[in-house]
Amino acid sequence: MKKTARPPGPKRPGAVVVAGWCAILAVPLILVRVTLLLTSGPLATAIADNLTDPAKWLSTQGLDTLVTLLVAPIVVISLVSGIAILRLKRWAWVALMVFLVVALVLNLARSYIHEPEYGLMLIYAVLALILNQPDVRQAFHIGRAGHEPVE
Amino acid sequence: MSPSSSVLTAPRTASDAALLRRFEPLVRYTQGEHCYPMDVEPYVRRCSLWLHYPDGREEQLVPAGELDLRGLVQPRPAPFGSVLFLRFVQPFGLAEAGGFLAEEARLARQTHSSFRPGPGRLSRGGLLPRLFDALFNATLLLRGRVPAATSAAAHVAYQKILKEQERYVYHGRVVRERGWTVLQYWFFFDYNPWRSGFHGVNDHESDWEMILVYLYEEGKSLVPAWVAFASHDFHGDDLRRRWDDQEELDLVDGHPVVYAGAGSHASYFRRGEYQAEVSLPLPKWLRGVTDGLRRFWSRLLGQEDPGGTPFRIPFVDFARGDGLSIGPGGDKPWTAVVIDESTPWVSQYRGLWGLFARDPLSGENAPGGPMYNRDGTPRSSWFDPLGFAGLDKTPPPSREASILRSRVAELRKTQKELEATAAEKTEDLQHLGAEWKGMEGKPHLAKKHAALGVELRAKASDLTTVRKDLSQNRVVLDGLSQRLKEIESGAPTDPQAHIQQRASPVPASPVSGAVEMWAALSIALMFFGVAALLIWVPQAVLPGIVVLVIAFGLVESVLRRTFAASLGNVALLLALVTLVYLGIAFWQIALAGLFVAVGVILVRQRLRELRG
Repeated sequence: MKKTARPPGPKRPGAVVVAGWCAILAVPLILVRVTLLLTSGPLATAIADNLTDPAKWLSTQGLDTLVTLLVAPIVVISLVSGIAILRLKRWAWVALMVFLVVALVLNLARSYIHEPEYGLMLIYAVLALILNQPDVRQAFHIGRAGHEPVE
Repeated sequence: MSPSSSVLTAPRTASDAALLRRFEPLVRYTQGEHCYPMDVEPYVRRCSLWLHYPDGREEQLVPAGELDLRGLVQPRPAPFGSVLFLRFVQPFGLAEAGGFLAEEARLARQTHSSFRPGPGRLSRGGLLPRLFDALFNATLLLRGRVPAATSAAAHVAYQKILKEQERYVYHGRVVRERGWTVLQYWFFFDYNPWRSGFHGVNDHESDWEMILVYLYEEGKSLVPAWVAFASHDFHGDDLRRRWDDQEELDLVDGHPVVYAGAGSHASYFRRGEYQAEVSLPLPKWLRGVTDGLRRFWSRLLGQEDPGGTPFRIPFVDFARGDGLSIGPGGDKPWTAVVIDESTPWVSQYRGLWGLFARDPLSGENAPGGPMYNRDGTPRSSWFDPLGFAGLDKTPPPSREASILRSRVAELRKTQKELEATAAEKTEDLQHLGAEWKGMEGKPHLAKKHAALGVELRAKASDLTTVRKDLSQNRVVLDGLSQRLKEIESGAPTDPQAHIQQRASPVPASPVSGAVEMWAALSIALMFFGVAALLIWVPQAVLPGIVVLVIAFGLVESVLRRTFAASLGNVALLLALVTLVYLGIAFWQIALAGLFVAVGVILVRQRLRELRG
């Protein structure tokens, strides 16, 4: 039986390739970082100390603990999203955007208490910018709904 | 425009009252409305008259029950900056307020007349307009406002007047000017309960609304040509509709139909719900900043332009036309009262027709009369009814053809004169040119050749001007001749060609109960959130508020099914904030990077140029 050629998929903008690979390559970096965090002190104590006291939520240790708790889903999201982004899946764009919003907010919060991570901030900001280019949004079918309110 | 044979006319000899009667409107109100057009006389009889002095003092000049229309116009010297005003609802205490509210509730039950807003104005706007709305309401505590329960008291008082004599009145005026006969219908209300009764912008004692019908003479008849409704949001040409514009104007037996806004009493041509927006009075620099940010967002980042300013509050004006209708063919008939400049209360009373609430934005202060603005200056709608609706530049249809014919004749004459001048100048120029050419190559004629050259250039320029005039004259002549042909042939013209902007009813959009509930509660929840931050995380209130706003925005987008796009916008905003932060922290590197980028672009351009 003769195999029919698959119809060509939608064109993948260059920014999507960059974003997809960034998400995939972030996984080993996150894992290294978490390993360092876990080896630097007992996690249980950090949770007990930092998470029960709202005053410490915005301290460096508090944020690190939060990151550590969130690391598993982040790693999974980052890896799966990276691959799905390259395949132009809409849900992956949304997942990556959720991640970027959380990451940017946390990093801005860090900068508020004078301990920012400039490199990560730059990467996240650039990723958010390129993933919101009109051609990228179009490739993922992201647009304004017809009944968008006046804001 | 030509009058259709089916258009009902009136005899030219008809009296003012008969003319007003012939074209009086049918006004359709909204279910729940409780203020209808009334005579000024019983209103004034129940009012007290007051004077507000520039130092803030208020003096009662005539107590309620002792005032009538004659007393109203008595000369009363007052210092500059003072405000003369009527007061329909007299000052009342807490117990009386309770009584008014209970009585109003009883009246509503008795008449089964209740208002249901449907999908409210809040759910039609986003988070930001709702926040501004909350702040706007808060300003009412600081600004002057009509006291609470005044609306109920006015309602009760109006019902008493109606019980004594049920009449629905318009005050009509007829003006004959430049070939037009203008019928002005003024509607007076005891109260404007837009805010208290219909979630609108303001309440004030008394209200004046007005519509105009424009007639022109044709033979022995007066033919209706235009209708205009007074409006706060539109001016000039945009106020009027052509009599034969079936899309924009409803007629019932030759009477125009008005759909009145609930509480606001604003007049609309079409039935529906109108989204009125109150733009916040911003300083110029802030408007510039928001415009700049919008351009940056749409042009540089390539995002969709959100359009308009975010600093606005959406209000809905409900002109459903499902309530009482007054006028020919309606539930109740009109009583006509003819007025003009000789009517004393019209021309001699320059004060406010209700409470002066000391509102600096004037929204809660009562209006002036039909002839005057709040500050006592004459109203343009009274002294210039043609210019008010942009008709001062429009001749009556019966005169348009003759005006055009005489103008076309003038232009033809000018055309002939210009053609003759051009031919004469061309001939002259050719002679000079031949002479000038003949002098070439003869050194002894150099001086004369140069002088002739100057003359030649001047005459050539002169001829160019004549030819330009000729060309322009021809274009105008063609245009006017074409228009004249259209009029003579009776060809239909676009009845809406003059309209630039118009109010259109907002189509009802399906909004879920969850969205409505969220729209009603979200701002209050946000304020509770800020309070919680202040109590429990005082060291991080600012970032906490940012997170709160983002979270609320995202919840809103989930409910409105715009989550993905809104999430992208939030990420983009956060990215911009981050980049600004990084730019400030590393300004030297950022500057160096900028120079390197410009350098790379320049090198690329130059290399391309070199390679051809």
